[in-house]
Amino acid sequence: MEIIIIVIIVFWIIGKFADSSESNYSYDNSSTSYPSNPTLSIRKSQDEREGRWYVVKLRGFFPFKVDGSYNFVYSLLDTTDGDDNAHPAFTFVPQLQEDDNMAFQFVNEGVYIPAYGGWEDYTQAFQIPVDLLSLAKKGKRRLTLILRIYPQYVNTFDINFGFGGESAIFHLTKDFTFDYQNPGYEEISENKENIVKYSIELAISMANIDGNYDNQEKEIIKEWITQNSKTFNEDLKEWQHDSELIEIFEEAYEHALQEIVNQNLPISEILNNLKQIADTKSKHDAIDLCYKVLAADGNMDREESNLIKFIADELEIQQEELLAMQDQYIISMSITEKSHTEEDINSILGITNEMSRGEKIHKLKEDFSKWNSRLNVVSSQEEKDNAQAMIDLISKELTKLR
Amino acid sequence: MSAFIGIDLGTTFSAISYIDETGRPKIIPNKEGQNITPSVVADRDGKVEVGEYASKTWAIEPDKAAARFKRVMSDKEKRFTVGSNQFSPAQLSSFVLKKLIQDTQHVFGDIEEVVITIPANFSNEAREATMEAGKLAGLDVNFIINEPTAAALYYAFTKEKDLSGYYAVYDLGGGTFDISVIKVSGQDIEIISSNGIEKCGGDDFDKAMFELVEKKYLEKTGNKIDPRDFSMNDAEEEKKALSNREMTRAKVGRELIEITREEFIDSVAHIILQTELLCEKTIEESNIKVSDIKEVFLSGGSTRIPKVLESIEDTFQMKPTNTINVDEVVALGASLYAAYKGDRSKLSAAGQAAVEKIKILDVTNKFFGTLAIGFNESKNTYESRNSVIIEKGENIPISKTESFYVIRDNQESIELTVTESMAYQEDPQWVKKIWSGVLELENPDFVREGDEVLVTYSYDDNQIMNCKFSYKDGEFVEVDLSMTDAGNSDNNGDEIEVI
Repeated sequence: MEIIIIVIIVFWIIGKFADSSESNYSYDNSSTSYPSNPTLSIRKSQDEREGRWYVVKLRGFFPFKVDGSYNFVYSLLDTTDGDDNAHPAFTFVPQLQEDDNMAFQFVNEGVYIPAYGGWEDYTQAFQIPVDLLSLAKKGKRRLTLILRIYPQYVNTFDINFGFGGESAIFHLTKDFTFDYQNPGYEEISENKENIVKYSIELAISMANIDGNYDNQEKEIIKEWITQNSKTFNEDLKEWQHDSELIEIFEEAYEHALQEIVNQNLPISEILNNLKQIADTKSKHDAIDLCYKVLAADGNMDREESNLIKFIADELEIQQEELLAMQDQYIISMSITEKSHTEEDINSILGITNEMSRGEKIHKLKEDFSKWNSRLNVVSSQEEKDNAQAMIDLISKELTKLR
Repeated sequence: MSAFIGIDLGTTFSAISYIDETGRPKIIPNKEGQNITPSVVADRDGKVEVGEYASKTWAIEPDKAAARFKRVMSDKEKRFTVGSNQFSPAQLSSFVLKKLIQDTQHVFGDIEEVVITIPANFSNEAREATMEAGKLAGLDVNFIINEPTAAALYYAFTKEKDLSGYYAVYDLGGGTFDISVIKVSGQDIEIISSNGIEKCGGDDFDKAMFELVEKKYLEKTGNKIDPRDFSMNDAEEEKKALSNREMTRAKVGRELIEITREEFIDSVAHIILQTELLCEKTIEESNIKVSDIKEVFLSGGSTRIPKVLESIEDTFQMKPTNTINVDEVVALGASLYAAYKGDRSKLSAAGQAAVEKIKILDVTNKFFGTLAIGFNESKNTYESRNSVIIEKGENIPISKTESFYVIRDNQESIELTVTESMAYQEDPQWVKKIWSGVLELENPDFVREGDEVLVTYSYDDNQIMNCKFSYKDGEFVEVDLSMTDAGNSDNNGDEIEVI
């Protein structure tokens, strides 16, 4: 699981920008004798160890008549559909957002520029962490980077979602293309209803795998529908239930129930549809719902386990991530040799026939350490017993292999 | 002379020791003349009885007695029925402590310092409950010590020649298994790495024996076992019998059930394997090779089981060091620790001279962290993540500071959490929250996203962890988390007489 704790993000980004703010804004008086207009250059960074970055460089001389310090404010717009139909680019990184929203903004404060001064050679200004952007649509996108310069005393900028900036004393733009591989926020929003519908269909398929759709499973799906029928009320600043959405989802639920009775709920088709429109989080949410349904009876057999693995494979969720999600539910299930077949147990433990003996031993040893450390963390006796049962299962499997 | 007492509060048996006038640790027998006392509490006419007789009551009338409560020491809600009373694990443990003190106080008089031992992987709640038990028993317990550390201390102290190098302490008792790798130079002991399994010990072997007999009895008679015909105590006896024989015949009512050693070994192989896995992990964590270990010291009654000894030999590629008193070494080490930590001027001259040489360098045996909002790249979303501040295996004392950041402008408060876990863990589900609080920010209007919040954890050698969360303007929340603090208790076991 690729997790970046916020503290790391912050150090990482500050580290990236620190160099630029210290050295890149030095200037050369003599350069004023080689006047050129300011221009931006954007190149993909070759170093991809920490994700993909686009390096922004700046050169040229500014038409400022007096020496002074300025705030350099960079915004990003998705202009694929034309400048008149531009969309904001968002980011999850708080340090790279506008004050009141999540639109991308990077500010380099107090840059000293002498009269008619600047940079003769391209000098790095900052880097754009493109993997941490959220764009309107999936695919090859044209992005426009906008540099707006304000006097240093101006620290509230007339920029909203990347638009505006009329009071800036200088503007500069540069286009570049970027292949955005996730579903865009507009697509997700447009498809939210369908994503929820497909997730409900998947959950009902999961519930029905044993041919018995019971009340507990029904409750879980209904509760999930309620949770996913909330919309954010901008005026009240709170999440509220959307009765229209509830109605749509209830209908989808009833329809799926009917289809399953008619044996007309082809799981591959649902998965294919979901895969086309869902972002990673929605895929995780769908699998999480399936696990909730699966765990409702406190049991997990091989068929259920295989189905959820199939779903995860189709949705391109890594096996490692799937097992991490599974663990959250295993802790509330009692899995023992008495209640499960050896095949069920191997499936739950992620042991496959394709694995070599060495790989199986390695995996089981890691799982032993994992569950042993969890014994100290879980609080209820039931969870402790379930964790202990996992330790016993793992060591029994290992005994057979050693 | 004041007494320095060490108590091994075990899952199945407990023992008490003190430092005698010659400066050596010594076990004090209970009033029944036994060096170890079963950790079992039974009801006898409204009074509680601890020890051998209580153990017999537990075997035949389980609703009148309680045993193995140490295994659920961290469960604050758990209550055991003993006759007409309901007791928490801490209360039951306090009865065992009372019994040990009552039976032996005539030997040592006033107590100067008392140390109770705990398994290496005890959670903070279980540690607190142990201290609470001490308090309920009327003891002023300032220190607790990990069982393998106590055993290591005893071995280092009593070896005729000075030890030098890496050693393993293998502690398989009635309920838990602990393994430690220590580095010893004379009487300087450095704990390199410690691990434990919460539920792995003699009881599990007894249970395996019971289940074997139960299965065969069912096959033979078609009936379930009547507990009056065959109990866990009987299973323990059959287990012991197989230490010397290839086959035993368990008497269940009128039937004789044959169990071979091979069958028994098969049924416990996975339990023994768990100990082997943990030994491998501990050696790996210590960054040494098996061949670097000079000796393996034993502790706990289950190390007498031949198959366990074989497993130790296979794992460490050597025979463990022969010890007679494996049931007592933890208690003996604990009294040495009491002398080491206490006011040494109260020791005899010989005692002072003996303890003066001891030096213990311990390590943290858990990861300590805090919860912060982090970016989960695979889900493309922000969520609560655990951020480790002090890692497992760091030398104590230690102090570490990490920077975190306010996530939005005008934030009014910051939620604070202290977590612990046995393994490096980012997922909040798999960490234990041992403290939580709030830092209210005085001037939210001036709070800006990205403002720094410094989190400092300092863990001292008295197992007190000071956690300080400070905001840039000098606003802070500071808390001392004693890993040995009893806290407030509403339990009351004082009024019950222990016999």
